[in-house]
Amino acid sequence: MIRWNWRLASRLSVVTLAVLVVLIVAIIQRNNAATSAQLNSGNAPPNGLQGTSLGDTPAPDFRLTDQLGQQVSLSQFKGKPVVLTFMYTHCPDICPLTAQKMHAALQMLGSSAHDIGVLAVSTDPRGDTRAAALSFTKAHDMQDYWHYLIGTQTSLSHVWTAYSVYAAPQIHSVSHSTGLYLIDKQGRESVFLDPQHGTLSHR
Amino acid sequence: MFSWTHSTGLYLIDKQGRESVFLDDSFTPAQLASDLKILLNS
Repeated sequence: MIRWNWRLASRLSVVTLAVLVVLIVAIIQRNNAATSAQLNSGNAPPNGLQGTSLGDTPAPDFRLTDQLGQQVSLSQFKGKPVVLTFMYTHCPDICPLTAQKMHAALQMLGSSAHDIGVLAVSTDPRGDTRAAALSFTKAHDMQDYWHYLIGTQTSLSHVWTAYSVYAAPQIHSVSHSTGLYLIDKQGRESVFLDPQHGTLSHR
Repeated sequence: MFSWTHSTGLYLIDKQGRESVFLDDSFTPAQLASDLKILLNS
């Protein structure tokens, strides 16, 4: 009798343990799903906007000098949407592409583009002189659209910090363009594949 | 002259001066134009 009770108790313990494990796993999975759903809905931009939602937090103000030597502050654009980006004029890859895409977007908007503030903040206080900013602006046909903002290391780094932008000179490593040239059987450059933007250009 | 490593992307700020959305550097002109139209009309 005693031996039978031990067997029964042992079997009941195994079943109870199995039920507990199943319950714990189910609870953990449910909590993970709820957290994930919360995070995704928190990052979804409102009103059909594309991109990562920033939650409508007040944009930190700043004041810098543009390519024409004029003082420009973010707050002077209140009442207009503003595009704010960070780049440097002798950047060999991403910055020229960004400038070109911004130009294309602004052209799509026609005359409405002039109701938008467009600010490009330098990430290179040494190389981005007024002359360099002006030349880069002209090279990308942005004279009518943006203020290319330059400044000292101190004044620019305040803005970088406010917008969580990392900017530092590369001393020990090498920056280089990426992508693939596909050359046809006749030795001619056929297409260029850009892994960064998933684009393909015919040459 | 040094090369610089730096963060890339665009902040879109609404008419009230609030950070609305961030587009990383894979944005397309059409996406940017679409977002700007929405912000212009908001």
